[in-house]
Amino acid sequence: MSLSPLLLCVLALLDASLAGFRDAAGRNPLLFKRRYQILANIRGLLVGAGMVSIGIFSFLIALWLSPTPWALLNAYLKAGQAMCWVYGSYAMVALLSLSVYLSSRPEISSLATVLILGPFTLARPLVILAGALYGIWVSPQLPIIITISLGAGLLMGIGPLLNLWKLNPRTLEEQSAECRASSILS
Amino acid sequence: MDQFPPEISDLIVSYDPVTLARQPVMRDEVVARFRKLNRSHAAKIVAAMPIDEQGNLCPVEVDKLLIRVHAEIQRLSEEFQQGHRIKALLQPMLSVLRAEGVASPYRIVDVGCGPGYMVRWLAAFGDLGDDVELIGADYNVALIEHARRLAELESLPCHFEVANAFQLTTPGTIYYSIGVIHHFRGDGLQQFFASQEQPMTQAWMHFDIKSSWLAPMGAWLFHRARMREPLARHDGVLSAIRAHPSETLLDAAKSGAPGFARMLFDEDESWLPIWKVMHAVVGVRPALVPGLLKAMGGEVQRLTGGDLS
Repeated sequence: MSLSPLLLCVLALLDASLAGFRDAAGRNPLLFKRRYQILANIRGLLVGAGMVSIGIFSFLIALWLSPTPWALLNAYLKAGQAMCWVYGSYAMVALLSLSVYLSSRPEISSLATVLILGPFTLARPLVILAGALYGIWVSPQLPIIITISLGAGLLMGIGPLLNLWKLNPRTLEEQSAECRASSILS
Repeated sequence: MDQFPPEISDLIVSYDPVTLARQPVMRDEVVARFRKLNRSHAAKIVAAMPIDEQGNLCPVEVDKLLIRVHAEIQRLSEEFQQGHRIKALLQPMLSVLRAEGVASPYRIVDVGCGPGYMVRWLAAFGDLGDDVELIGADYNVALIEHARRLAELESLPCHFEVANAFQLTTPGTIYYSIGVIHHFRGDGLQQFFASQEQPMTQAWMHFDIKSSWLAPMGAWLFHRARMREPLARHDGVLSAIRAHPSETLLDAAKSGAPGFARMLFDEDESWLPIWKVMHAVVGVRPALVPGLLKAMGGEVQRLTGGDLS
């Protein structure tokens, strides 16, 4: 049994968590804000979980409505494997760069940012599109096209949605309170 | 004649050079100026800013915008760990001042500090010693009040003044700035360095984006990826275009502040200039240079050029 659906879900959740971080970054001018950043990751993760649920729901509905569910499931798995290659490669390079960034001296960290982390953020929508198109190209069936398009759209929309919903605190007072609140995350 | 257009943030605020009082800025005049310079995108950004009944840009709204923009700039400084670069220079400089018997306290002044990110960072993580005073100076009252509030919230030992950094009641022992020097051009740049020729001043270091063929492209990429405010995106890219070549900085420092030995920090001469995206022009009293080079230890190769050549 292919693990690609599970891997896609994990990658989507990871992406959502990082989207939460990006939404919070550049808004809080305090210095000691680890708790604020972790909570931003969690908020992204929760929104991502909602989106993944929508994707899973559409997948299950498609299987339920299909006259040949096993054949459709196989086609889904084939598409999922193809998408995993694109998204998995992107995620692996990004995570490796992030680990270099977090563990090195400033010059090497800056290089990881300049070469990978910055460009990869900018390339993210294109990578989402490329993975989706590859999945559709491998299994060009209407239910699969709908599920993949829905998933890609949700992934693309997570940043704008987090911004629109203002889940991360915007005012200095709220940010300061979140940074200071006592918790194991502090 | 300077071929480089001004940044939006240069034109949407104006101060009396003597009293530092905020002066009204007519939005239509700024828009017209950008249109005349064929900077339609900048004109569009300014045209969307709120005005009062007289047609002046609303100062409160401008300040709110600048505070948001500076938070985004801080994010880039955090990502590029700018604090560690300054610390790598400040710590050896302070040890030389102590070794040479220069009287303390050592006043380290951030020129054009905005909301004081670097001053606050040094207060929190600089390990500079108890004989050091950290001061941020800026013309903008709102930014300085914001800096004070931020320092107070985190109980940081530093302070901020609405002032010309070079005209403080007690001058700085060391001056530094980040991303400020490209705002000064021609005679203004020379005057900037000349302002540091004060008897008490022992050293200065001014960081900016390293001018290179790749810098504007890199700045565009990072400001698209990391910034939200159109003004921040616009000015960030223009900053990289306006960044002075190292030779220009060294020449201006030589004519403006001849009492200092000049050098460059984190210069990157490679054909692919991505190793060092920020560099600094540094000035030190000549008598302190041997001590500084020794105090830099293994990091001494980061200092090059100028009077070290």
